[in-house]
Amino acid sequence: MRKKILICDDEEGIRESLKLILEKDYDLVFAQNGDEAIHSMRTMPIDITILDIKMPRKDGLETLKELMKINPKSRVIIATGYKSVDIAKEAINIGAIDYIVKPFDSKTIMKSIEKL
Amino acid sequence: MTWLSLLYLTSSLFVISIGVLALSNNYKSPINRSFFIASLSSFVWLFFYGLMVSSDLTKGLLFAKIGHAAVPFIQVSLLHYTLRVLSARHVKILLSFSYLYAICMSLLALFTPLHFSVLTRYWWGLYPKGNLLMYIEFVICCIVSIALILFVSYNYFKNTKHLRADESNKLKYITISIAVLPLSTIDYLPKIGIGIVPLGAIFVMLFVSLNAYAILKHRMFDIDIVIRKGLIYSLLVTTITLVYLTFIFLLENVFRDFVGYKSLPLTIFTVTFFIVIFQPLKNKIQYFVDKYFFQGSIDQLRQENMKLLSELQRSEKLKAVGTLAAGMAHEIKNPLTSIKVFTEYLPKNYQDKEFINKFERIVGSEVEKINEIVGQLLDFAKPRPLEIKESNVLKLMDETLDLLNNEFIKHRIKIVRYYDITPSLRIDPSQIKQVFLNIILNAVEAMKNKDRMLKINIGISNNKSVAISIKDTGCGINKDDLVHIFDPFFTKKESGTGLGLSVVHGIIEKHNGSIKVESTEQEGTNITILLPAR
Repeated sequence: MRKKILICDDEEGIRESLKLILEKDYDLVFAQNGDEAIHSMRTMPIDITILDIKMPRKDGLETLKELMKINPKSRVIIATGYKSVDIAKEAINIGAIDYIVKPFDSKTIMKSIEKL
Repeated sequence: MTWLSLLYLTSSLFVISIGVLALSNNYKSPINRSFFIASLSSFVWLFFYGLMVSSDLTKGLLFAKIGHAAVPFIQVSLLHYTLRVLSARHVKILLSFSYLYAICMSLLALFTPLHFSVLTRYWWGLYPKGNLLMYIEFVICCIVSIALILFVSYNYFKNTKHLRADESNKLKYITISIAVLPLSTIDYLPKIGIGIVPLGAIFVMLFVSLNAYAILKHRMFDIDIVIRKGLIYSLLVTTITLVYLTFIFLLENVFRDFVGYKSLPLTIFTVTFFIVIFQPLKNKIQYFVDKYFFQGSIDQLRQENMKLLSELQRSEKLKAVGTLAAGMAHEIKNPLTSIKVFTEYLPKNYQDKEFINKFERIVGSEVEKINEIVGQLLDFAKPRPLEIKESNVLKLMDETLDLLNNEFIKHRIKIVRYYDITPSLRIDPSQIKQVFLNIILNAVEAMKNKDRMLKINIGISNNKSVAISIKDTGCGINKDDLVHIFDPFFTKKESGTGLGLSVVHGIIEKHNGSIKVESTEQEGTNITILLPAR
């Protein structure tokens, strides 16, 4: 059975890029902001989430906290342009499993997902 | 009286005038105080050596002893001053030891023959013939001078890149002056038997001038004009005094040679005559300088200060650009990711029409996005005159908050916006964005506590103005500082220029608006800007 991946990023370019990389092997659900991602997590089974840190209104870390509340076993990969160790640490402390730094390529994404 | 004597006396007047000016400019500053001690000691040395050079042997020895007693204090106070200027730490023991050394040397010079016991008559006048302690003092003086030059040069080359333009200039003046100062040790040479003319006073004057300029220039603006005036007048007084002393000298010689009459009453008459004409003459010259000469200087100073101010404003702006650039680097990574992934898939999918359509749309728009981001940064960094046009304040605030998103995420700051519908205003969007940016960057820096929240409230106030309030939950500002926050160069930050809020104030005033600051320590600060609605 194909796994379902939730992609949450406010940038269309990133959503389309991840679609290009993942659509062949996974079922994809898209969210443009934190609230849409939370809604998807509540309404359907999600195997993996790829979550952007910098989003308008509700940022990635806040969204991550709520996702973990809904499903503490959620497997979330954070994708962001920040190389800051503090943010990575905080995301891991909240419950994220991995951390990908932009600009990424298909290999990095596939490697990170296949690990899970 | 000999020409060397005149040089010493003139230098002593010059040095003490500038020392007093520096002290009166800011008597609380340790830099200005240590500079004054150096000037005062130099004055004592120059003045009594001036008297000594053209005295008889008995009086000359007394003047030489008093003058030389000040010399160790010059050396130590200069060390003190240099360390203060360079903000050197942990130097209390060194300074205490140095002043103790100066007191001992001074007492020994005054009351023992260890430095010198006789004077030698050279062609330029009388001068002390050094004993053992004079040689030791000379060696110590050379070592300290070399150490100071190395220390100051090291500091200059190490720090100059990290300093603001005015700080770097100040350090440059002081470095050059410290390098000049050891030349004044030339005055030791006749004391140790090398019959060279002791012209060290010239280098002392040069040192004092450069340092006075550095200290006073640092404060700038109106005070600078006052001080520059003061410098010109002190030079003037010195010149008049010089002319006055020359006259006495010439008249005495003329009367002695032609009349054969050594006249105390004549000298008293000459002195009285010059005392009577001295003040009106000085006033006339001051009036002349003010009316015909100084006007140009004030304009020049204004221009120079404007140049310096705009340089500093620009450095403040570039500091903000640095923060923005960090945020923008992140913004660029998003479009870069899309371009990277789509390019990676291009060779495999170039015949897939759907992919090519998407490629064109996504990659095209991502390249445009990068162009826009870079354009925004360049737009902000570029200096430009006031350019008023219809602008939406809400949009400007959102754009500023977007620019700073990187900072908010990094410092975990929550942004809360309360926006009412507001009319578009006739403002300079670029400058108003700079106002928002400066205030918000200050707020970000002030929030080191746990609950970090920035509340932005924009709405209509009294039907006449648009009120923009930016409230943080930072450390707040104490009452004493609150009245000074818009003063240029007032800062409590270690790396701040103190110009951020002064620039904000200037821009709001140019828009006929007003700005109000309310702050409670440990609770936060609320800055409200009122801009006329029409």
